[in-house]
Amino acid sequence: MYGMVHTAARSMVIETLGEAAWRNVLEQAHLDGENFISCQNYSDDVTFALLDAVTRISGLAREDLLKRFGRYWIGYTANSSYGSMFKVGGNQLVTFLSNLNRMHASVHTTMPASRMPSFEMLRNENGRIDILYTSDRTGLTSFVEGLLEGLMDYFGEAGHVSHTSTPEGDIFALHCLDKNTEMKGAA
Amino acid sequence: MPFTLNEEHFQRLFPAYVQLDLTGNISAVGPSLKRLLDRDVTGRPFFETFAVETPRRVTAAEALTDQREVTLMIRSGKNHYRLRGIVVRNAEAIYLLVGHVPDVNADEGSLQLTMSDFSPADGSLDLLVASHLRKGLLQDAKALVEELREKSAEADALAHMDPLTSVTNRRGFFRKLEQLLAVARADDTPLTVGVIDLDGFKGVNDIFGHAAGDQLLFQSGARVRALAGPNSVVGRLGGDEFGIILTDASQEADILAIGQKICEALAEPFEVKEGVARIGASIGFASFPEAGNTAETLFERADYALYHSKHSDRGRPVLFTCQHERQIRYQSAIEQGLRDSAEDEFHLVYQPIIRARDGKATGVEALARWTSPVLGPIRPDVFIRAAEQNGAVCRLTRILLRKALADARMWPDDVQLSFNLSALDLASSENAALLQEIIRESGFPPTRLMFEITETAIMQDFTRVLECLAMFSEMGVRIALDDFGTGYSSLAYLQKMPIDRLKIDRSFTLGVTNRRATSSIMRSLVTLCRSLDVECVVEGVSNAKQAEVLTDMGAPYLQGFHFSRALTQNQLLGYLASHNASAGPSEDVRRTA
Repeated sequence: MYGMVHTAARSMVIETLGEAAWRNVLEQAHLDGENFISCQNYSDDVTFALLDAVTRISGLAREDLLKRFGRYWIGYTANSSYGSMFKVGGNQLVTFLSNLNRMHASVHTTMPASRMPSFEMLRNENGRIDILYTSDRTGLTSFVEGLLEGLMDYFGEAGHVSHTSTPEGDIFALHCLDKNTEMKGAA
Repeated sequence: MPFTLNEEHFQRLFPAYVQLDLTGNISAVGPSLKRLLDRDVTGRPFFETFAVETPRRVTAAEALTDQREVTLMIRSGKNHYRLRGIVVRNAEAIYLLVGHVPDVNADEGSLQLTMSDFSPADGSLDLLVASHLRKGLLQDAKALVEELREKSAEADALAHMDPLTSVTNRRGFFRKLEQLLAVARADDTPLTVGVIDLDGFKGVNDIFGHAAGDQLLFQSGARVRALAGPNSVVGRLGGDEFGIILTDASQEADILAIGQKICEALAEPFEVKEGVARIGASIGFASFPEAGNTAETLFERADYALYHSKHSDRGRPVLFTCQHERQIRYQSAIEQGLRDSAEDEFHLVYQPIIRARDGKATGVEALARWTSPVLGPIRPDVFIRAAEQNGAVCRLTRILLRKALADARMWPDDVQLSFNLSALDLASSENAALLQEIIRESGFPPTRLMFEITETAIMQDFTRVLECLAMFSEMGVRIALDDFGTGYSSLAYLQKMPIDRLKIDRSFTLGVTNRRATSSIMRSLVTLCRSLDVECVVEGVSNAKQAEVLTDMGAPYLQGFHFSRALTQNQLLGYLASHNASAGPSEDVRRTA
């Protein structure tokens, strides 16, 4: 994964647990003194070593931590210098979700080592949006759930996210209290 | 070119298009361009709203021929945009299909384009996303660089700070000195280096303890810093030594005035937890370029000036002068002469040590002399100090010990040889072993040899010195502690070391006949030696009155000009032959005198 993910993880740990905890995380992950560069690709081993270390130090269950990080990631990117890119994706939840794959494709041109997941909108009616998530990475469904919850928050959509595993992939259903989420031609 | 796309597709493909009627009035604009212009331009003459280059400026609709590449220049608020496009013309309308926005002097954010403005197939979308992503990545990179720079600056500051006094440490001081010296060289600005040594600091440590010593050092650093001025650098060079770099003072009087203030400030009482401590300070200064033009030279010369401050002007600042320069050159010549010296340049003279009881010369102290073929005769204190400083003293000791032992073999059996060792001779057991070897080779009985050492030598490395002295004691060589009473005069050493004799310093002898206090001290020392069962030699006896008083006090051995000046080997042999023959058991030094 690219270092911007690790940079976000660092930001979350420092915000919630403090600087010393991050140093501890790096030490436990055998990454003492590492300064992650956003535009550099790191092996998934590094990412998962960090994840394991944060899990140990925070005392959170791994899935809970991933979900929190998913939510944090949305706030982090939306409110950081990546915020303008976030806005380019659209000003509504549905628009953003429908542009997500295309955005990832564009991101790939700048970050050619990235392995982007796919978010395919299967359904968008009566306040329910079904997204089929597929990725060549495993073990990140809780992260995706957090991401989608974070997106709902960001676009001011109250509701919740549910998850179902299918042979085609993971389907996340976004249940929005506002039933009027449809965007013509978006799905 | 016929258009078959519906309006939605058209807009997604070319979000910044402009449609004109054939007269040149705007009939429609794409959604992106509409946002960009921030005003409705529909129905307005195209050339009043846009400037167009093809690449030459055109001002009439007729010039917008089919398939012609054009550049639209748009002013919107404070931003200027150059949008590239192509003209498509048919019988009903003229279209300027503006798909790319590469040439803008505003950031992409101000275009306010979203992904919905583009066709998914349009590569511009990649550019748009990339530009925003790049902005974020660059911002991250900048933040990382700034963070690392901050950390590096913090680490650098910590690495160059003395944790005890919070002033620059030795390494930082010299780095700063190099930097400021480079500026002084380039700009021809003044720079003076000062070395400050606290006088009496050891006493504070001894009396109040190390914690109090630390407090005093901290306060000293703060006092010096407060007086140094904002453009000066203050550093702790180690122990009780501070350094200062002045960049604002160029006149000798100004430099000395700052130095005097610092000396006075450091002479003020220090409140430490354990009480009130008092010290003093000496300062040596060296200015660029008069005293040198490298950091090393300036520091060395400031240190040299400090030496003069401590020894001849204690508590006052001394600035390195050309007189010091001459002294240094002389010193260098001596050191060079010592390095190049041949063995026969050195010789010994001997001063008898007299037994007060009967006036007999029972021992002889060997005194080193050097006549340099280049510099002539050099005073012993000068060349011995130089030899100690440049490490030549051990070689010198070996040369002189061989000569002394050879001479001493010619003396009567009841006359002992006293030979002075330097601190460096006792700095390693290897050195001591070499001296042992010389003694063995000489055939001179070790029991007739006495090594004289000073308290200063013992202080350098007590354990090592003890080890060396034990080696000599084991072979029967006896040990005398020289110049007793002038240094630490620690009785603890007398208990712990194999001392056979104390030599009471000449400074006590000077006042023994006319100062009650001195006389009392002398009497106490003589009694002390008797109590400790240690021989006692009083040095510096220069007249009959002193000899008489000392003999009455019970001083067993005396030495000085009153009995004999230093003699050559031949003179000594004559002296011993005549003097010892005339001296008898009933004859004491009063009659000899």
